[in-house]
Amino acid sequence: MSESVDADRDTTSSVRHMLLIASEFDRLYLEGEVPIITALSKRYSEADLGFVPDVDFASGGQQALGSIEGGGIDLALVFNPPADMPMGDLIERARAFSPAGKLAFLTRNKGVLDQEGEIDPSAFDSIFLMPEGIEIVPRIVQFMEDRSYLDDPDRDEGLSHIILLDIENMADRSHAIIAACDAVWARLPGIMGRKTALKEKIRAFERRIRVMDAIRYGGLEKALHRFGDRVSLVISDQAPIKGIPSLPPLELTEENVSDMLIPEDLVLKDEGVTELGSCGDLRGLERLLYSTRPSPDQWKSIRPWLISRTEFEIVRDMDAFLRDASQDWKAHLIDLIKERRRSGGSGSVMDFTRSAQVKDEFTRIGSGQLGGKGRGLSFLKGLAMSLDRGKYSNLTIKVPRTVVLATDVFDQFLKNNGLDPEKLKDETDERIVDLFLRSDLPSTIIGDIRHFADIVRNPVIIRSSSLLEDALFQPFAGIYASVMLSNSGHELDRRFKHISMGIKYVYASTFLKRARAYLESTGNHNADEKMAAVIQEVVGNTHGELYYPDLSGVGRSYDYWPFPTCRSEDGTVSLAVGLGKMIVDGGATFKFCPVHPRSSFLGGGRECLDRTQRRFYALKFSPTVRSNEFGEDVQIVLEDLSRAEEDGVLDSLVSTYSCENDRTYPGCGRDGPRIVDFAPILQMKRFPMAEVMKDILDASQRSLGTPVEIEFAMNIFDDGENAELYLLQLRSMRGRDRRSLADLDSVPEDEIVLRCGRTMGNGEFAFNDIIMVKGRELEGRSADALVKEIGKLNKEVSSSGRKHLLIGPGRWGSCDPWLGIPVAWNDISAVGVMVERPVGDRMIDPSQGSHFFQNISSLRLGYLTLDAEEDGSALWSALDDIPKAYESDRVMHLRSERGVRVLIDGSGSRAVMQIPGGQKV
Amino acid sequence: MAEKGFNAYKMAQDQFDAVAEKLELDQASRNLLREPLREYHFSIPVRMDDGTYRVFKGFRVQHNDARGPCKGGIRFHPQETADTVRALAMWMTWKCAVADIPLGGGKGGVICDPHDLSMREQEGICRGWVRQVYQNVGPFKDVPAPDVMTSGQHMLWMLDEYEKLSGGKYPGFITGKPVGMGGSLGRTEATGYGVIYHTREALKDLEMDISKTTAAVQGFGNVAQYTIELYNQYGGTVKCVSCWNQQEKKAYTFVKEEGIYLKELRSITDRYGSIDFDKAKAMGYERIPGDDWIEMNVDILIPAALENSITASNVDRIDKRVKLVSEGANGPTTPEADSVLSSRKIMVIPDFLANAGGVTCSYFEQVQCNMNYYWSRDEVLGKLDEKMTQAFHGVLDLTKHRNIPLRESAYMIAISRVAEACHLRGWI
Repeated sequence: MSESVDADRDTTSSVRHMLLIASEFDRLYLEGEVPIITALSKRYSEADLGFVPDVDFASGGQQALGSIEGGGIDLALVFNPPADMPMGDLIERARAFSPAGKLAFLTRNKGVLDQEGEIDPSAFDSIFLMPEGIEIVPRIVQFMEDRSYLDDPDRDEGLSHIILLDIENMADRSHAIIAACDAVWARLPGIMGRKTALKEKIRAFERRIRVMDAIRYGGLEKALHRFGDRVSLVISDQAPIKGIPSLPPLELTEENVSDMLIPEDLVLKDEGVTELGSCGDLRGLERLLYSTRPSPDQWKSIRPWLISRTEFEIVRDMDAFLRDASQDWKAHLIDLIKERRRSGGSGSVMDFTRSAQVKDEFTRIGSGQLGGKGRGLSFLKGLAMSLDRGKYSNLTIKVPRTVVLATDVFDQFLKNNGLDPEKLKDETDERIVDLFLRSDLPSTIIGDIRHFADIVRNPVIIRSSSLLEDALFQPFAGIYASVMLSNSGHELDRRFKHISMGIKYVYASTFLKRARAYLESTGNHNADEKMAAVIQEVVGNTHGELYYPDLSGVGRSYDYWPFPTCRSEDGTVSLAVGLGKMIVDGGATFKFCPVHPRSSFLGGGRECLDRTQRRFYALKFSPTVRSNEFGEDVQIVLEDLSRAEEDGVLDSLVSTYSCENDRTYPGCGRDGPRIVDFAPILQMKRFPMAEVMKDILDASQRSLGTPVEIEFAMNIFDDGENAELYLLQLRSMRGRDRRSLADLDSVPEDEIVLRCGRTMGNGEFAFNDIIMVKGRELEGRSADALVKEIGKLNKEVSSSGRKHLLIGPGRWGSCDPWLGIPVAWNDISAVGVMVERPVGDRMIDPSQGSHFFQNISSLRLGYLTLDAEEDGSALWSALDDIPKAYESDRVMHLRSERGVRVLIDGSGSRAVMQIPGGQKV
Repeated sequence: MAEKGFNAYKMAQDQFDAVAEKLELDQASRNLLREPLREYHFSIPVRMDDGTYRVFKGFRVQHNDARGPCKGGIRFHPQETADTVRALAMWMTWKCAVADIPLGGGKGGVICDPHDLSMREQEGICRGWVRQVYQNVGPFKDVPAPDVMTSGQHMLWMLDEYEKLSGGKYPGFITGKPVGMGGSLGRTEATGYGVIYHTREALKDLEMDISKTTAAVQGFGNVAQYTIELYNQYGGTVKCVSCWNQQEKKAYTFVKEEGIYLKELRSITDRYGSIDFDKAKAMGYERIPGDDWIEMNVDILIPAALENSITASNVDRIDKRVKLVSEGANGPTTPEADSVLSSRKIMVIPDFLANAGGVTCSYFEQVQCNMNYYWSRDEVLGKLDEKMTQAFHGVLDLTKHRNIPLRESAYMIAISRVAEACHLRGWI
């Protein structure tokens, strides 16, 4: 059974594993002509579902109970009573082992049922009298599936048609079951034939016509009442009921039944008389609707036909649409059919089409894979659609208009242009970018890209979506390029050119130094990598020459260092005004816990003035992009927060500090410094941001089975009352380990150099090399020179195949040189543990939303953030005895033969640094 | 060229009359559009290599220029007739109109057989042709292009002569020039790629995944090869190609069930487009009669070689699996065969729509030349794809609304656009 089929197992009513309980003798009789497995295989291969039910055999009650106890049996079929135990015992114990499994009884001899006390028919889910041949077994499987489906309100979508049986005679009933099940089965190829994705086939299979005994619902009348117009046929030995298609059970055949069901071809008639035309599929219906003028009543004949074709989404949408009456139902139905036809062949991701005018859609160009980001977005789109929209009255949740260039486009691009990954290894970054920008995109996609450039007039971001990004422990956050384009200008040619260049640049980034260093450090090779590219409309609003969303955020379902009143499982959300670059690059942001949104991580009063966001990122409209300057940040600018206030976006996002009473007041209503604390949203609850984030993080974590991180952005409408929240990216993340891999208590006191209470990672790390930035001060202006120096030392350590311990002030990898040293990943690729010291007296919070942080956590590096007290009590002088391999004004490289150790308790967020062997400190 | 008893011009006029009737065109429009606006018939004296002089008969027919300068090729053929040129000029008008490019239709020719002429003698014909009509053609009047037995070299001679006579540089006078001499990137592949852009859109409407389809191709010239190239890139499998063998003077079909490999077939094809039998066999190709391409068990038939390939006599040999015919060649399906295809619900993308990629890219070349600024290949093919797709969906929409075949819709759209332009200009 394939993996994907297994994955669907819990969500379908299909019998995947049955147990036949029959004596050896009975089994010989049963399988005399055709083995049961062969009969099932033949039937299921016709349906092309990717599975055939497994069959186990048990020759007696004891053996049967052993199999049932082992689990996984969906249906146990008893053929005649077992010899080794009373039937009642078998039933009772089987039910105890598997309450959800179905039990059915099959016999050739009706007399068995009449033996007093031997068989209690009501103890079984169903009883069948066997006609000639083994063929009834696959029909029993189908019939029992129908029962499971209709019994389970979570599975029954309330639309499938039903054939009701109202037959007293056991033999007639069994014949009717065979005829009805066969008529239903015969229709499956026509319904599922064009569906190529297995998921689609299984869904259609689930929505087939169901066959059920009326007696199960208290008789025919009650069953009709319960199922209403879902009943398409009654097979009854009683007099027919007016208005309901009925058949007597005598001389029943598959053809009789089929003739009474909704015809496979839809015939549209003008006022029920003149035939307007007919169709056998959705394409035909679309044409019929175009070329005829159906009257409103005709929906009544189209609806059951659509149900019989398992097109439930269209029916539901139309039902809701028609509740508003008097609208153009024909145009709406054509739109729905078009959309359905596009998505029909490729599962949930629709192929890009140039005829679609739908704004918020997620589509694919190419037929390959979507890559990590693409898959995440596909999931988020489904999540956004499934959320209860009524719950968040003034906040709409969406995914921005997105098109993914699948991995086969990347392959084609490399092939057509003769770009060999092996040869690119020796080229410089500049040369690689130049080579890629001068190459041609595949002719198969350029028309689609051009159309995208034509219809999208807002800025776009082009992001990498690599296959390796799928791996939980290799997030590749920020390793490959993203290109943001203002996409402004009236000339389509220019916009098309820029988007094309952006795609090529993202492709090139697969082979640049930064990516190669990361691949090496994670034990991957360029040859393993395949790149999809996500082209997405940027969320934001135009403010003069700038474009930015009101706020951006990163939510994480697990908080490594929760606020004292919160738990790690409550999660954490980082927010910033403007583009999310401020968060993912480790700039100043606002953090809150979605369960306790009122708790502030900024601190209170004057303290928060030091920590609050003061600048924000925005996209600057620029009609020209020079190819030699083409890079990911080429059109992004850093602006002062006062600009956002001038643009009128701050009122819902900030508080104002009053120095008179050392308090903050939500909004911009008074003079004073602005504190970006999102109080109007989180405290005054202008929007249910915390509730939404909690729901989204919970649902995502449940689906992925690991903690998750979600990037998002939000636009508040001009009325200030309504907003749209766009989900931008989903990644899995690593939670804290349950068990510590290091024994901190075993370290002798006199060997400990420092202790830390805010850590990540787990285990014991030993180093001979320490790269240490001197002091606790940051000099933003000379940051570039310092980064180069660190990069050089890192290269030396890396070339000798060792790892180093990195110590310095502030947040490593921050984009803001006043918050930390702005190293990129390739500057510190050989790091094993990094230690962050306070900046002056100020402790810099680790930025959990940053790409840098994501890499640290996923690669299981050690990470220690010292507060002022811990830093003050650390015995830094102990390092003075270690020989210096290099020293400058700002940085030194210590190389110790004895080495130093860092022990991190991954379960408790504690760590110590040890100089083994004891020392005078 | 001219088949006995067959008059292409009459056929073109009959087609026009039938559509005009459906469009309920007024009589004046019918009178104007069923004949060319202008015709030039002239003599071209050329001094031959042996010192003698020969006079060649030349033509230029401008069918209609209401939508823009005329556009059409120049043919060198010994059996050229004025009626053939008239018909082809009219079809060019419809082709430009259905592709919605701002050009009219024209065609030209010289009665000659280049096989019997030296390059110098051919140059003399080219320069002589231009001398006779240079005042009536030009980048803003009538833009010639290569056609049967003329090439980029012929176009450059004509351009040179035109510029000499006009006293300036006018690269937009003529198209089909080599890249670097005013030619456009993407021109070589444009016709074949255009066929596949239409095919791709048709398959979407048929709800068929192009990467899972198979095709049989008649022909292995420029159009067929680039058709196969792009179709392969979309993941489609070509099971056979049929091509002419110059030595045996007959066609053969080369079959590979798992799909032909374009690169290897190109490597064993000579300059006449004939595939080497022995090498093909060694590569695993089966050779069958040329006509048998039509009965292959495939989803798509692409006739990209000759006119009258699918006829009443062979249409019944088409496999029931076939859902689409994309006409890469001009006039490959006879009207009788067309009706049979229609009754079998096989979609047919008509020739003047399917192979409009060539003239569309010629138009792009002309635009670039007039600006003297040249686009990247991405830009050219991106625009081509956009134009072709828009044209196809325009035709498909009418087909859906009127429940008529694509060919009929395409003619209706083209003729109504030209008639509308004539009305708006106040001609009628």
